[in-house]
Amino acid sequence: MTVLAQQAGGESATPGLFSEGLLDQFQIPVGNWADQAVDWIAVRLETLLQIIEWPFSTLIGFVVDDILEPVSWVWVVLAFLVIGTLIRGVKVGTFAAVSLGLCALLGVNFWLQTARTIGYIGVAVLLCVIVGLPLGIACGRVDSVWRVVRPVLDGMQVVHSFVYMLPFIFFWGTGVVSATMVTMVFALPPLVRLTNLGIRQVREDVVEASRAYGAPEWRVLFDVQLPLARPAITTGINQTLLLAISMLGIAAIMGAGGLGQLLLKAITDQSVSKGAASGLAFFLVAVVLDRISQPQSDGPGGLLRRIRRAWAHRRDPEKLLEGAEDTPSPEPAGSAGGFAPVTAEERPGMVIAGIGGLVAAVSVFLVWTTDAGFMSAYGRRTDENLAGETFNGLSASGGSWFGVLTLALGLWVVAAVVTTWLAPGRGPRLFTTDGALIGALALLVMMVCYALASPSDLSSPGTGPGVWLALAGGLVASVGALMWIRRAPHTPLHPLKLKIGWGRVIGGTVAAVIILVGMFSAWSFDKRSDQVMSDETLAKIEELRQKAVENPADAGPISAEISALTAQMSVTQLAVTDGVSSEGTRLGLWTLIGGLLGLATVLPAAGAMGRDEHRRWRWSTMTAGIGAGVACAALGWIAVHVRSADPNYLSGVGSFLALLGGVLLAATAAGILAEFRRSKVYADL
Amino acid sequence: MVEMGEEIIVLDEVYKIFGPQPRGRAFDLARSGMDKNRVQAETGHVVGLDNVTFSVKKGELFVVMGLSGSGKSTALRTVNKLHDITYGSVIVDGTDVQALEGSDLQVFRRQYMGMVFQHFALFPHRKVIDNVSYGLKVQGVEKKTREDAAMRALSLVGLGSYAQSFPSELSGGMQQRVGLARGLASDPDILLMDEAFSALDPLIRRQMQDEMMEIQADLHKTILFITHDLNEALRIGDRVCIMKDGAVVQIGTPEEILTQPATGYVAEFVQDVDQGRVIQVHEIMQEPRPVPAGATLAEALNRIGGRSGAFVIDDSGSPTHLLTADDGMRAAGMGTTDLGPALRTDFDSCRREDCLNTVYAAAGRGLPIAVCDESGTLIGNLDPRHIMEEMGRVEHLIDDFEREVFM
Ligand SMILES: Nc1ncnc2c1ncn2[C@@H]1O[C@H](COP(=O)(O)OP(=O)(O)O)[C@@H](O)[C@H]1O
Ligand SMILES: [Mg+2]
Repeated sequence: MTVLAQQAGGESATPGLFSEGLLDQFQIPVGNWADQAVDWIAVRLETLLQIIEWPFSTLIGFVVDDILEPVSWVWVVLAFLVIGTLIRGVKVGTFAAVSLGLCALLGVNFWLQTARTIGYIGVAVLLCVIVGLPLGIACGRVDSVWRVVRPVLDGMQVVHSFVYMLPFIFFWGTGVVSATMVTMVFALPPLVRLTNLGIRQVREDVVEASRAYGAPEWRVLFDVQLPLARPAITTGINQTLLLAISMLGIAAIMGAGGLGQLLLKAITDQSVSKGAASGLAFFLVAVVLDRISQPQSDGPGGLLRRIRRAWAHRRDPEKLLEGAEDTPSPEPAGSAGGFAPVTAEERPGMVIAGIGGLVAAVSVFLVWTTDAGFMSAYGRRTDENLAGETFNGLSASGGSWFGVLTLALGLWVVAAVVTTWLAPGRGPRLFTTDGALIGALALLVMMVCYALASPSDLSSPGTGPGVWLALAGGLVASVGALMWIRRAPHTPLHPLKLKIGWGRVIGGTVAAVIILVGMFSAWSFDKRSDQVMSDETLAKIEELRQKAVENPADAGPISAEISALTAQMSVTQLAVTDGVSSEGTRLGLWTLIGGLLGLATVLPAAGAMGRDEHRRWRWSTMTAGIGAGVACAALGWIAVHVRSADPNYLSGVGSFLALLGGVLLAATAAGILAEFRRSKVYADL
Repeated sequence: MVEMGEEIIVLDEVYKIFGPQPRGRAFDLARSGMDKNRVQAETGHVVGLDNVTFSVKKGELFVVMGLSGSGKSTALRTVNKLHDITYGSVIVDGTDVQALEGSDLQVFRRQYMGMVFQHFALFPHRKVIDNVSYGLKVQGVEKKTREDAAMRALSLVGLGSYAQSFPSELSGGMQQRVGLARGLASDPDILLMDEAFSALDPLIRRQMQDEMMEIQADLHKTILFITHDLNEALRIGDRVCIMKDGAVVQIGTPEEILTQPATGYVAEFVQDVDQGRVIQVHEIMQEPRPVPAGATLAEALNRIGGRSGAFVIDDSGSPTHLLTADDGMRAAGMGTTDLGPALRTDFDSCRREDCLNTVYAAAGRGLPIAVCDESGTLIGNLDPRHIMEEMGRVEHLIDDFEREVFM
């Protein structure tokens, strides 16, 4: 008692029940126990820990280090094209390939982290499937297993991941292995639950039918239960994937690397550029994986909404299946009739459009750039030594991406004409009359912008015949497509709304304003060092050079002196050029004019000048074509700079705004374009 | 193999209790004769089968009939051991089904059983032909052989051209034909049909029954057929077993069920059946007691006895005239001894297999009806009063039953 009293500093020797002092006398050593337990496990059960670690580290090592990182990005992109096509169809496959290609084009560092992220998520989901599927099946078939597993799953889902992250770090350290384990703990339950549910909701009599015919239990499972539980199981895998994606942040904190870590770093460095790029890659990877793993029946739905849904239902994923019952897709309306054949009136327009497209496509193989100046062409100052050379439309230093786009658009027009000619109405949606006009107008608008724009005041290469031919091709194709579309028998699937589509007018106006803002914004950033030489210095260098010529023995030290002089004069400056000023290309100005033209077509397309459906459709097609053209012009500019080998010379946000405006302009027409199909004729009418 | 007519399925004193402790108190109570509802109230266990004993003969179409929840499906499922039983024995072709386990059970099911389900239970993800050949696939029959067999079964039910369709593309009736074909494809000895036609429209149900009976006439399968529709049971069954609350109430031919309902419960069912459609003339006709052509009136009246009339036959035995008791008495009252004037020729005749409903109109005239064979020979005398009595007897039973239940 006395000792205690002394310790308490002379305070009351016996603290009351309600005094905090009472608690000073107690200390249940929970922390100690845990500490000892962890130590004991880490030492005594090391083998066990290693056995558990083995599949994780092996798989991650194999998938990430042996496959994804060393293999060329092209193979990865192609693999996703194939996988996506096999699982979900060409559209998703192409989308996956394009998105991942974009990630790769962000730069090699981003690509490596993207590959890491894909591998890490892939391994986590794979392990979840390997563990969760059999477990779910066992739960679905054996009640006693489900009675045990269910509370465990509940526990896994109630505890916050920050809590169970700790033991994993204690036992396996930080890094990708324990991050994968934590991800698994978080992402596994929905798969088990949904598999269990899927097996259980298979109709009892169908299962019984299999048994009654003498099927052994493995057959009952593989013949009946698994195939019929497939929708639930695929939903489960998709849920697991979405939750794994949403765990990337925590995984990054645990040191898993990948895009999550890049993002974290961008946050700590407050680097907008790194953040935006890795954020984009992150987003694309997530969307691609989600799309590929989505069960067929589900609608597309925004990724964020789906992740939120996955989160909201992570304890009761069974709810996700409600309403997702397989609804048979309705028969396409009027599938009985055949499409209207190509009429004689259409043919001249088709031929002219086709010729125009062909001419444009051929033009890129001709000379686009002659007499490359100090800089060969758009933005490629790195190609300084190319002075005087000539290039065709496809070579990087010539028309470059404008040439590629020209080729693509020209071939598009040709494809639309040929498809319609051979099998009217049956080809893909883009290869119809309106597709041809959009392609042709886009070609024309883009080439006009290209021809009017000048690369920069420092460089004035000559324009070769290829450019003029491409321009002429675009013009001819547009005229032909316009003739064609006047005669093309197309009708809407539903009657168009009688009201004027003011929303479209507003949309078009917004698009034009965006392009306008873009025009005054930067189209190029030049952060390269430049030499600003005074006449004095120049004279001095000349003098030194002369000296070196006179006595070659001193050439070494003299050239060093010259280098030092130039280095002294080097100045790093940021040269920003906007879209209108005469030092730049003035592409901003030309795209604005295109945008305003497009806006003018929105009015008749929205129905402000008469209700005639066919006419509104024609004008809508023109809007889409001009919008696409503006977008292509901006895209060409951006692509040229992306391709540039000099990291200090970049396209500006103005070109992005022009791209956005063009796409928005084209999008205002999407509603009407989606309505129109080639007319049908019915044999019995 | 068993001979035709031998017993192939035998259920003996079978009990089935559903619940956590099937062999516990619930079983003892059920054995002591307590009924299903009280056992459930006392113990919470459901008595699925309560001392069920019946046997099905080879080649027979045996129908189990009862209201929903009466244990029909449970009884059926004991035959291929989809359910274990609590007590008793189930013998199929000499094999104790309950003793079978694992692969023995599977082999047994493959060898003996085809099953047809109320809601078809087709595999929705397989084509019709793959559904039909499933039993053979399970048996390990090679693809070509099993598809041939499946096609044969499909054409038997008239669906040969739908082999490559998916079940969802067919109507309900067609789906059940596929179900039937699936049952027949592996050529099992026994077909178990659980409410096979109950989900179909009345018209299609009728059609399916006819078709099944046609097929049965060719194939002579042993069919254990479950239904809750007495009309169906009486129409197709060789014998009918009526169940209530898990127990068997009566087993008999359709005629026995109709003419001798064992309890008021059965009689109440029978009430809903148009008996005229089931009871045949020969079941209630009397022996002919014909009057020879040259007989006197007194002799003829003597032969009539207490009946309502008698027929005069010619040398070949065909009825030519009818003497009703009334006409004979009237003539006798007027002092005649001659038979001639009292006779009438406007009588009706029918065959011995005719159902009662075809003679309703004739019976309505109140005159005796002549029952003849193909050659026209008189073989029976059908008294209209007996037709009415037959109906009346049933109604009587129902009255008794209702008194039993409600008083
Ligand atoms: N698996 C089961 N668990 C508990 N009770 C059951 C089960 N199967 C059937 N029963 C009960 O057994 C009785 C008989 O059912 P069943 O044979 O399906 O009737 P029926 O086929 O004649 O409609 C019913 O009371 C039903 O509730
Ligand atoms: Mg039933």
